[in-house]
Amino acid sequence: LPNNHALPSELTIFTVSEVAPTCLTWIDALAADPRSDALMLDANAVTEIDGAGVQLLLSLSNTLAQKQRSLCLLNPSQALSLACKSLGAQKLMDPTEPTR
Amino acid sequence: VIDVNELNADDGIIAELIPAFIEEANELIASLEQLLLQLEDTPDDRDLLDALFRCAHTIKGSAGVFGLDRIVAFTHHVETLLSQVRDGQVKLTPALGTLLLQSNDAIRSLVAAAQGDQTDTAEAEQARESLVKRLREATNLTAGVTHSDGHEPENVPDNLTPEHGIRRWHVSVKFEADTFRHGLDPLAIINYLGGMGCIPNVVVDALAVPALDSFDPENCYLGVELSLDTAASREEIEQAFSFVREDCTLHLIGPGSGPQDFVDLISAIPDNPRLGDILVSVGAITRAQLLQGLQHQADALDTTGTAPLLGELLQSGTGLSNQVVAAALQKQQQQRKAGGSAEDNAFIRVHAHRLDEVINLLGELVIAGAGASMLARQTRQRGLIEANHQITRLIEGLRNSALKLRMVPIGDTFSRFKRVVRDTAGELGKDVQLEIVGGETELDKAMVERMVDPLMHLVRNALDHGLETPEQRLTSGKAEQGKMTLSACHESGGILIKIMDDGRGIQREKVLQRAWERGLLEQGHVPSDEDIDKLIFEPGFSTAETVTNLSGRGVGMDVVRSNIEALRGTVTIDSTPGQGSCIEIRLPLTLAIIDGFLIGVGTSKFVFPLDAVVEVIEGQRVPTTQDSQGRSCIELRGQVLPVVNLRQLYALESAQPERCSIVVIRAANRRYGVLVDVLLGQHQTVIKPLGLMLRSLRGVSGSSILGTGEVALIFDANALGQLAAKPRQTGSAPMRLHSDVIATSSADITGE
Repeated sequence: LPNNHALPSELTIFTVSEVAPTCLTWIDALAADPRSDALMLDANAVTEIDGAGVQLLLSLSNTLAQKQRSLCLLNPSQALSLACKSLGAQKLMDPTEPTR
Repeated sequence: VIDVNELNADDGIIAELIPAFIEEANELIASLEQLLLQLEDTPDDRDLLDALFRCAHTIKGSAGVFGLDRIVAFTHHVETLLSQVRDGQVKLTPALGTLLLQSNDAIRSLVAAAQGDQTDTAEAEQARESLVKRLREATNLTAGVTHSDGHEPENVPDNLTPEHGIRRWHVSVKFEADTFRHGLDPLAIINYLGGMGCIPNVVVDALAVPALDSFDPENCYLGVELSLDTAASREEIEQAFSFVREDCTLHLIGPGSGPQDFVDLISAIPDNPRLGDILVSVGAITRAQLLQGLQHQADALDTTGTAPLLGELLQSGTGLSNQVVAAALQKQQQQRKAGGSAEDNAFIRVHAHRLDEVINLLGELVIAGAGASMLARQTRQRGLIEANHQITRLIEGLRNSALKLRMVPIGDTFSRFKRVVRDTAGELGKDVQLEIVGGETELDKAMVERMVDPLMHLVRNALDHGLETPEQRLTSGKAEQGKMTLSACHESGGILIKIMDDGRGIQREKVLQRAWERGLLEQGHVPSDEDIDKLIFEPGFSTAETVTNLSGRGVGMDVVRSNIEALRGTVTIDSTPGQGSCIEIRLPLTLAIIDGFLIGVGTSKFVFPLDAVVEVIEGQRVPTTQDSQGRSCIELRGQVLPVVNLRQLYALESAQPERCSIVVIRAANRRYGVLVDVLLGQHQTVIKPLGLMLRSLRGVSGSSILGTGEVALIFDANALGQLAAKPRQTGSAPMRLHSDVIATSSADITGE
C-alpha cells in the first residue's frame, strides 16, 4: 500500500483530540504524493468507537473530499462497522455504495 | 516544548483539586453501590440503570482530568459493561451484580490509592486484572447480539408485529456542540432508540461535520434523520432523549403523517439546506412529494405570509391537544426530578468546623440571651422585656435551624449495611433479607459517623451468631430466608435505633458457661435472664465457637457499648430463645443544645430534657409511701409511680419544704417521678461536658450555664430512671453533691 496508516484501537471522545492531528499529517503526506487519490487506513484495530469517533472519520472524509481525494477504510472492525451503521454513516465504509 | 513553570503551576492546581475529586468519587462509588443493590430488586429499572452508568462515566471522566490513569483504565471496562446493561444488551443478573460490586470495590481502593491512603499492591493489581478479564467476558458475550441486525427492516423481532401496535416514526435530531463535553454520546442514544424497536433507515448529516482545519474533535456536529418502527409512545421516544434534552433539537414526526409534515420540518429548520435530501435518502419522503410540498408551502406563504410554527409541527399527525403535551412534559420533568439521584440535588459543601463554629457561637448567644432576658425582667420595663422575648424567640429559631444543618438522615448509613448483609450472609452460607425502616430519621452527623462502627459490629454479630443457616432454619420450622431489620425512630427527645433479627436468639446456657469460664460470674451462680443477656456486653466476652473473620476483629460488644455510652446513649438487648433478638440503641439527637425543663431543689438547679417530661404535678405533699423494696412512690391515676428524691439521692443540704412538685419523666418505656422544690420552666440548654470531678456522677449527663451565671446539671433521663428503679440500699452513703461543690467547680465543669 502506498500510504499504510492504521487507526488506533480506541476512537472515542477520550482519544479524538490526539488522533485528529495525526489525521492531518496523513493528509499532508497524501497531498505530497500526487499519484494516490485515496487515504488508505487500516481500520481493523478499532475496538472502541463512539459518536465522536465516527464524527472524526466524517470530518476526515469531508476534508479529503475537498481535496478531491477519498477515504478508504480497510478491513473495518466489527465495532467500527456497527457504529457507522447505527449512526447512518455507512457511506464511510464504502464510499461507492449509495446510502440508500 | 512545554513550559516547565506552566507545568508546575498545573500540578499545583491539580494537587489542590484532588481532594475534591476524591470526595466526589467516593460519593459516586457509594451511590454506584447503592444503585447496584437497589437494582437487585428491580433489575429493569431504567432510571436506576441510567444513573448507574452516569456514576461510572463521571468517575472515569474526572479521573481522566487528573491523569489518574489506573482509575480511568479500570473504570473504562466497568463503564463499557454498564452501557451495555443500560441499553438492554446485557442482562443484570445477580452474578453480574456481584462482579460489578467487586469492581466497584476495586475502584474504591484505586481512589484510596490516589489519595495516598493505600499503596497499590501487586495483589490488588492482579485482582484487578482478573476482574477486567471477567468484565470483558461479560461484555463480549453480547458482541454478536447488538442492534446490528435490528437495523434491517425485515428483521423485526417476533413480539413487535403490526398487531402489537408497531408504528413508524420519523426522528430528526441535531445535537448541540457541547453534547460530548456533557458526557453524552449520540451513538449510544441511537442504539438505545434501536432497543425500543427497529431502525430501518438512518442517515447522518455528514456534510454538517466540518473539514479538519476547522474541526474541534470535542465539539459535536452530528445530526441524524432516522425512521423508527416501534410500539412505544411519543413520550417514551422523547424519554430516550431525556439526558440530552438541553443538548439537542429534537423533532418527532408521528405515524401516519404525510409528506407535508416533512416539508414543514424542513421549513422549521431553515439552517439546514441539506435536510430535504437527507429526508429523501432516509426514505421518509420521495423527491416528488418533497418538491410538491415545498411548492405548496411557498404558495401558502405567499398568500398568508406565515409559515407553520414549530409547535404545530411537533403535534402534527398525532392529534395531541396542547393540554396533553403540557401534561406529558410536566410528568417527564417530575420523573427526571425523582430519578436524578445524586446529581440533581444541589448542595453547598461547608467544612464541618465552620458549622461547629456557628453552633458554638450560638451556644454562647443562648447563654448571653438568657442573661439579658433576666436583667430585663429585673428592670421591670415592659418594652425591654418584650424586646427580649422577641430576641429569645428568634434565638430559638436560629438554634433549631443551625442544629438542623448538622442533621443527616440515618438511612444513608443504614443502606451501607445492605452490602454488608449481602456479602456477610453469602460468606456464611446464610440467606438473609435486610429491611430498613425509618431511614429518614435525622441525627447529628457527628453522631451518625460515630455510630457506624458499633452498628457494623452489631449487624455482623447478629448475622454471625444470631441468624441460622437455611437448613437450621427449616428444621426449626422457620422460613428459609432469615430476616433482619434496621429501624430508627424518634423517642422522647432522642433517637431509638433497633437491630432486630429472627434468628435463634441468645443461647443463655452458652453465655452462662462462658461467663463462668471467664470468671465474669461466680461459678454456679445463675442470674436472671435479663442479666445473662447483659453479659454479652461485658469486656472479654465472645461466644463464637470458632472465631470467624467477621466477629473476631478484636472489637468486642463491650467496645460497642462504651462507644454508644460515649455518645450519651444506651444499648440494651432483648432476646427470646428461638425467636430472635432485638438490640435497642438510644441516642440523644444532638450533642450541643437541647430544650430543657429547669427545676430547683434547695439552691441547686437541674435541667431535664424537655422531651422526657411527661407531666408535672404541683403542690404535692412529700410522699411517705414506700413499696416493698423501700422505694418512695406515689399513686398516679391508679398506678404506682416510683419517685426519686433528689435531696436524698445527692445529699443536698437544705430543708425539705412542706409542699413540692413532682415531675413525671418517661425514659426507655419506664415512667418515674422526680421530687423537686420549684419548677422554673422551659429553658434552652447549651450542653457543656462535665468536668472530670463530676463525670462519675450517676444520673447526670452534662451541665449548662444559666443566664445568672449559675451552673445547672442536666439529667440523663434513662440513667436517672435506672436509679429510680433500684431498691433503696440502706447503709450506703448517698452521692455527695453539695451545692458548694457545684459552685466551686463550675470552672471545672465548663472547662474554662
